[in-house]
Amino acid sequence: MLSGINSSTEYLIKIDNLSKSFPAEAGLKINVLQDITFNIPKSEKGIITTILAPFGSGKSTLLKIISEIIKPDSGEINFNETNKIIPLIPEKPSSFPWLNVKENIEFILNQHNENQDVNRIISLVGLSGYENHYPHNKSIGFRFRISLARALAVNPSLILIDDSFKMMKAESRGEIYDLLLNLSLNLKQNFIIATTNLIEAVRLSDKIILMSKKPGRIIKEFNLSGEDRLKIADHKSEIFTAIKSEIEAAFEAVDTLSTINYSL
Amino acid sequence: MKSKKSYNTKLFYFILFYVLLWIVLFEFILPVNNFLPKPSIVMESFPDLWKDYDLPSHYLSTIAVISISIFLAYILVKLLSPYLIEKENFISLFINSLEWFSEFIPGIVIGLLLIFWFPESEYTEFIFALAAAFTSLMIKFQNESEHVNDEYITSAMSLRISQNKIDRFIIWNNVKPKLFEHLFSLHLFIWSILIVFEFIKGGLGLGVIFRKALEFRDLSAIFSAFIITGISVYIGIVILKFLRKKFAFWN
Repeated sequence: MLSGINSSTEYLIKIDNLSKSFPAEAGLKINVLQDITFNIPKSEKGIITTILAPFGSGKSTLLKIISEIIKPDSGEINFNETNKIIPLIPEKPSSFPWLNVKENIEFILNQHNENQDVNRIISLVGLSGYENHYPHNKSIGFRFRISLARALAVNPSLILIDDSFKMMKAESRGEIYDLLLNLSLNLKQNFIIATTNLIEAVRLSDKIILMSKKPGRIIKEFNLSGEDRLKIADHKSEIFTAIKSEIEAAFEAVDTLSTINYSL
Repeated sequence: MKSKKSYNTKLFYFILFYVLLWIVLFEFILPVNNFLPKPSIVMESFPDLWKDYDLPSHYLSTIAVISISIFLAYILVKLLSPYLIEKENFISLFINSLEWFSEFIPGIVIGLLLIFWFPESEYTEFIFALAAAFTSLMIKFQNESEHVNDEYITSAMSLRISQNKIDRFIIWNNVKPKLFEHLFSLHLFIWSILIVFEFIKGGLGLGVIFRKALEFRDLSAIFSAFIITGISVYIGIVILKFLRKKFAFWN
């Protein structure tokens, strides 16, 4: 039904049969992820992939595995880039409150001996004029921008975002969506975003991956083109209703419909 | 800002009320009594305290021991912080035993033993204050380092920040505001145990002035020394607040 991303034989990241469990009481194990398999192709523009899943489906665990913070029990990840750093922006944006905007970015640049222009990165995330501001008393949107700038400082091919938008005000969230779309289009920046919000997924994504919970399994993938996204922006459009129904049906089939947020 | 103002206003009216009550009661209504001295006599006793009780050297000794011991304890905890985060090394296990031990044995008992073992040493008081401050800060740091926001660590790990940098920079800075918060109560605690220590040991310190004044049954000197101690503690709190605002403002 949907037009999809231009397929490429080359992939940016390929995930095969990833499984992860954590020890529980009485020697039991909780399966968090089961046979997760998907890939993101390389593209001329950046690709935004959204993992749309209910709470407790192992989205954060999956992102931590992709970022190599934790190891999977089985399966493998092939990341087809020379720069192997995949920054993860956690649910609560993690800019250091004891450093100002500029120092936050410089700290990361110094750690990796990167020679990038700090002011350019600051301008990319829309924080020009705020170089000397500290994040501790600023909004979540402001702190997210710093986290994003720190991620961009390592010049990554892929950035992971773990449901960071849900605590932002609607206005700020809209600005961040535009920022990510802009970075994806102009900087060819790839993102994987974990979310529980369908509208967010539809608005941002080139590709939506639906995951069920307990254990997290991939139940369906949708590819969307820029044209689709333009039509979907109108929530009364046929295509929007169609994709929403399709997603609802996919979740209904695995009985996890109720925990998905269908509003902004 | 509003709460700060109201705190200072409350403090001002609290002090004003009790000072006025003291003046009215003990200057005019009950000038001769065994509870509190006449305000005018207290005023006159300050010069005596300076000359007869050798206030400058005793005062400087106590202030130096308190400030240097707290400062050194803070530096030591900062230097040792990476080892305090690790749960299974010798230092961490030692701290756990100290924490357990301190639940049953008041610190001053250790002070009494030190006085018994080294009655003549000038450094005993400093070692006692440093040990008390260091132990308290170490325990606080170790407990707080267990509650560092996970997102800082996750994000740093994903950006390939070294474990050493995570320990020395990220965890330390996360705990720093809580350590500064703890310094307020620690500062008061060190004042209290040090005065008791000096009172028992003798030698130098404000505690010695209290002891002499008590021996001479000089109520106005006790009261003057009490006022000086109170003002010094207050100044210490103001300095700590300034330092917190400067070095740990992100709490």
